[in-house]
Amino acid sequence: MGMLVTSLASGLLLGCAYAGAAVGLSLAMGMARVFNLAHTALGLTCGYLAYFLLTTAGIDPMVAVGLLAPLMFLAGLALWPTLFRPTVRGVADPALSTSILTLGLAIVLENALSKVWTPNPRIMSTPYSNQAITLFGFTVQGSLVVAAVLGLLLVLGLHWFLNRTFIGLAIQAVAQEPDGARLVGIRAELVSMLVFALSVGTAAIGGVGLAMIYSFGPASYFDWLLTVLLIVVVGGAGAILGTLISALGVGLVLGLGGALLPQAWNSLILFGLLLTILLLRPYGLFK
Amino acid sequence: MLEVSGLTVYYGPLPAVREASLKVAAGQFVGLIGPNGAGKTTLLKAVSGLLRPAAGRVVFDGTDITGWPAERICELGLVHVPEGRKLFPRLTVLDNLRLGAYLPRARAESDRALKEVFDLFPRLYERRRQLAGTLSGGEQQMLAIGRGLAARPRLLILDEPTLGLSPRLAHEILEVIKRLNSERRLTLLVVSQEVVHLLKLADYAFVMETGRITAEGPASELIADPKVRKVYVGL
Ligand SMILES: Nc1ncnc2c1ncn2[C@@H]1O[C@H](COP(=O)(O)OP(=O)(O)O)[C@@H](O)[C@H]1O
Ligand SMILES: [Mg+2]
Repeated sequence: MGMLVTSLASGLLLGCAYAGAAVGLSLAMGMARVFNLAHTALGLTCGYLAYFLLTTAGIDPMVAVGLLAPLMFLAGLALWPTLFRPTVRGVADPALSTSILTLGLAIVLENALSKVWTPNPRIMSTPYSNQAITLFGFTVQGSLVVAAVLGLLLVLGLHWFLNRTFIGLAIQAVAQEPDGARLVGIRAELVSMLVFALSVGTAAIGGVGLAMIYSFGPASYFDWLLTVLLIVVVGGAGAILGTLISALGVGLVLGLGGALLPQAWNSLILFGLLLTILLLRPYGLFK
Repeated sequence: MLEVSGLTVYYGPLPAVREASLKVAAGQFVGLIGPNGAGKTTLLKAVSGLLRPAAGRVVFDGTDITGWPAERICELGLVHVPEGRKLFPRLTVLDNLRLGAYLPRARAESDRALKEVFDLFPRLYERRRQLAGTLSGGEQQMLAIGRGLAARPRLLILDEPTLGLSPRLAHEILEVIKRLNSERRLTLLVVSQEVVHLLKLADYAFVMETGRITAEGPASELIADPKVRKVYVGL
């Protein structure tokens, strides 16, 4: 019983961490119509950079996130006009053209990571990594708590930004009715660029979070991507709180499944769930 | 105030508007009528920057705005309330109106503009916290007009503000539009299928058929024109 409750608690925390890794992807899909398959690869790159900062300069990953997220935001601003806009412009199905572009980007990043850091798996060890933390009577791993808090803050912050700020409303306006937005003077193109840059900025937070929990190699982005895509599909593209709820569900399945079933069953359950939802509600559960 | 000359707009290989010219003078209430598919919506979209014309010129207040993007044209005070309303369906009435006043020029006066819109359409005030997509057709039309007014227009273009409304509601909306012109001196260019009513309220009107402007004149003369009566009034 105690173990079950503990795996429930870790499952929920894992869900929060995954929500942080998924929410940016959902944002870009729902609000800028960009399908960024390199989202977790960008996140993983930040994981490696945080690992580098930790091992060479002793910089805590929580501090690294504060440096990497703004840097990735700037990278997003640079990627939009150079790579994405030309790929989206005049294309009937931007989801297809951007997914091919970003798949390529992900593979390039994987190879670069492999060159710089070798294919060997890495583990981010901080003083709190393996420290047992007791929360409400449950004992969980310290790095899991940190990653979960990062993810949760990110999701709630984005939700606040989109609904409580004027620029957030303009982002929603462009997503809901681009022509209507242009007619009130919103520069839809700039808004899409901002959304995309935000999304890439969040990749840093989500990626460092997952890199704190799991051991990772250059190809880990692919496992992360599958889980994150599942979360986005279930939550509904662009639904920020939907992403959180869906991620919590996925976290629970992973947490409980990890405790009760052999490892192989986890993916089977998750992707069985994905198929069922795609068949029944292809636009997501919360949209 | 608005001068459109020789405007031609294509969808792919097919022209929807051919060498259309029209003028709207400051303070005027101008109607644009014509059967479905004549190209009225296409013409208005090319004026407000949603479509790029292939040829011709659009001059607003002495500025050549031909081919400008919609967001820049809005900044000049040429505001288009489009066919189908194009509201933000999952935002509230209040947020739709606030976004109408998105540009700095309008945002500075947004509180006053909102109050004016609510005075004009008290129903919108009652429903201010409701999502735009859940409003009735008439309320959505009021909101679309309100959002346009929040942008502080000097010329307001209204495309089919009466579409899909009951005749009574359609007339009510047209009366409000008329008041904007007579009480606030707002310059208007309005398309409506309520031809008789529109011609009674407007100062001047243009008739459009298969992409061309085929007739124009003071609205009171057009309404008496046997040809116009035959096609649009069914008399
Ligand atoms: N998006 C579009 N793509 C292709 N053809 C269009 C499009 N919109 C309108 N048309 C065509 O252009 C012509 C003019 O349409 P429209 O401007 O909507 O006329 P109106 O507003 O007078 O009813 C019609 O023949 C219509 O079928
Ligand atoms: Mg039309």
